[in-house]
Amino acid sequence: MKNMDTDKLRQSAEQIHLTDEQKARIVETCMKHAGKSPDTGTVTEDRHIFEVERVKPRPIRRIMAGIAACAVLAVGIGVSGHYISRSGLPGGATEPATEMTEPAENIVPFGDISAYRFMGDAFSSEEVPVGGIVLTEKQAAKLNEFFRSQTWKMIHNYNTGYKGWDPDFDRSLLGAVPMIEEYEYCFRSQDENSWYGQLQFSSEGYLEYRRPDAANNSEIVEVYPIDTIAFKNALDAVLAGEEIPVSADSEDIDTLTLAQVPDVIGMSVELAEDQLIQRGFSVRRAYVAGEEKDHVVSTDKSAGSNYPVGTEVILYVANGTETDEEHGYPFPSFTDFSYLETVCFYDFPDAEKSAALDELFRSLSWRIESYSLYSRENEYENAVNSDVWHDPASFTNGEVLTYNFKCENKELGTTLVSVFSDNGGCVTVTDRSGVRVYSTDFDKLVKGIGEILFGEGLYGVDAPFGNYSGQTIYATYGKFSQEISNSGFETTDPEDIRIIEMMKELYWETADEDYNGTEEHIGFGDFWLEYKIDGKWYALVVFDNDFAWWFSFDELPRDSTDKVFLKVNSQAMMRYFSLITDLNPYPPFGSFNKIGSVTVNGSYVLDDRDKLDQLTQLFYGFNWNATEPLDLDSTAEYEFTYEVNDRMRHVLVFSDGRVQWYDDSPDRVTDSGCIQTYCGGFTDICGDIGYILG
Amino acid sequence: MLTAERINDAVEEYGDMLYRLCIVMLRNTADAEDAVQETFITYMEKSPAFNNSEHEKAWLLRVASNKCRNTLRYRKRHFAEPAEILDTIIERRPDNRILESLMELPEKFRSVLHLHYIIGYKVDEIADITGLTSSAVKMRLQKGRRLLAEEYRKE
Repeated sequence: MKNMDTDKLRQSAEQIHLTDEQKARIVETCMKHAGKSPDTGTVTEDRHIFEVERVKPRPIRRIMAGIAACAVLAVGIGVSGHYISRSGLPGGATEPATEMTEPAENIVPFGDISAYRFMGDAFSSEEVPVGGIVLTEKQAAKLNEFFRSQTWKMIHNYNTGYKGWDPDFDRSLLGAVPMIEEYEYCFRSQDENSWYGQLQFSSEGYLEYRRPDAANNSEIVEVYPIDTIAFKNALDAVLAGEEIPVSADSEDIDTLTLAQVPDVIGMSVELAEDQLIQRGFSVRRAYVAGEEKDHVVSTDKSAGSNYPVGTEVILYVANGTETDEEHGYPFPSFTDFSYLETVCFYDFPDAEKSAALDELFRSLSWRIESYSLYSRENEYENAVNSDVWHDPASFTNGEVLTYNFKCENKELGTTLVSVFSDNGGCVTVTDRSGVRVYSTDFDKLVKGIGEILFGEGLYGVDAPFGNYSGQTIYATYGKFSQEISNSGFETTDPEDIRIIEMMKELYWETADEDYNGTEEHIGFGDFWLEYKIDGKWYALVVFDNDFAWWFSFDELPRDSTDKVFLKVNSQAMMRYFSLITDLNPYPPFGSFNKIGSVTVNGSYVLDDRDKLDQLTQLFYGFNWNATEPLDLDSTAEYEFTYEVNDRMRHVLVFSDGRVQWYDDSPDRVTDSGCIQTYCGGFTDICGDIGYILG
Repeated sequence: MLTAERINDAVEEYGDMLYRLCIVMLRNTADAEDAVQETFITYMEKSPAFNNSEHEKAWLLRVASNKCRNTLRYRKRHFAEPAEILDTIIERRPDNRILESLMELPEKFRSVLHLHYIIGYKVDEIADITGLTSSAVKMRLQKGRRLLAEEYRKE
């Protein structure tokens, strides 16, 4: 937002203020609340004590609830042959205070669900008819059956003035809540006169059972932990889908009968399918890397868990290819993931998309590149909670985060699956055990994620730089803002076209006209893609500091006042561009500016951030091709030394433009060998280094 | 328990700031006044010890923001919508259009944009106040900015 707009916003907001009358009212209410006279500040002790009692009522009504429940239970057994819950409608007067007892945990606290109407999901935009939806007898019966199968243990209660949530409620009592998409299913008492008798089943892991406290003209709220996923599945099965309402086809309700998922891992796929189908589940196969062909490697629903009959279970079946023996399939199920960020600011995908993500990840081969344990205190916590996440294993593994999935799971804790699009693409998994870095078919992965989440990929035909699909593309490359020549080459190779299409999978954002990129230049200069759409020329110019222009032009010089300013991840774009041009622009030894300090020629410690940035820029953008190893006895003009993964890395720059690097362990410096030698093809590199170092 | 004088001072010092936040979050003067009032009641009841005035200010904003969220939750539960528009609160004139645009955004963007652009908090500070992660705040700021620009141009 422009400064001028910010100022306007601030000035407008400053017109909003409390009147003197409002302020006086607030102070007076505060004083009254505290039992003080606003004038004298004298405390009226009785009133104060009363307020405390009112705000924190003792949870004594449970004993009455228990007694009532027992009575109804007895009647229920007599009538139906199996126990039912207490049937009291919400809305009754508060029971007198006696003493606290532990409530029976198998009694449904709010009684029979048929006493309530379904009022909708507070997080959904789906309309619910005014007055809510009355459950059918069968729906109510199914839900009652489900509720009775749950454990009900009140962990908190409080009294409100018909408003709000108790700020003192300690959410840690709920434990780790597996978050799926946000929901809050609301049921309200059928009794019109006590409409505030309500049940709220929330994805935050609890049921709020609210009912009136007539004696105090207030509301009593009880909080019970719930199994977020099980409740959503159960409630959805009964309520969602076709039009939930009164006339809902009763056949749908049978899907709520719960069945236990058998342990089928290691079985042949046919046998596993038989077992699941026999129990009423539907089955889908997804083939994944694994040596024991046609045998089940894992399932998306864990053995022993209960799900409504009809639920789909995905069998991940080995396709006969090798897997990483040590770590196996590296990702937990995406149906557990609660958060998706970075590129698309996208709400968490629905169950179908989560399952598709599972399938995509499992269909790829994964090769582990590195594995590191945590060495510092709170490293895991910091890693999973940080918004700027860097791979502690190696700075070369990835810096450009394209997608970040965050999983909250009771058993696993928090796991991050981070998809990086630079340096060839890699995926890191950060969990309690450490950080693992994987490589895979990155383009397939990114394209696949885009297609799952956004249909035709991240932008489909609506990229902010026009739809160049099917057009002839001319590509031109300039480094250090050298003048762009007209010698752009035409890309007709289908592989080039595919890569250019992949550029749409990156996140592009329209920027304000005063946006001029970030301060950090990667160093590759800029590159241009030119193409015609409907007979008109367009240029997409990508700079090396997360900045791009898109504009149309009719003739040379290619310039236009009508530019669209765009933000994009330059490193990722460079990666794609390097594939088109067969350039290898990434220095194989990493980026100096990610290291705090570098020793130059064994004596001078360079820790000036600007200079490290300039060196990084200098090395980026060359065509780094391997050459024959150099004789280590040759004298390098510059030797940069720094630590990576507890080993010392040496980068030697020779006066003829060749660069060599190698790693060694700190105690075996003299015995190290040359690992790779690269030639940047830029013979004046030493002159530039000298200039940077001053 | 705080003295009447201290409450008076606090209302004078922070009342307008809290009221603005509550108006932006709730879009309704009565509810906003209630939220501010409840904030000061909590302030008085808890009488927390603060390291400095910034700490106190952030604490009050956090409590007020929670109170507003409570009210929003209540509205969701009771399917009650506020029926008040901005021109009852501020004068309708071109300079105020950007605030009107802000008020049209979904709540989750309104509050972080307010804390960032009007009060001037940084991402991490907003995260502390709202209980969101820093990345969620950044995400909301970025998307909020975009939505605000779109809304502003629409008018």
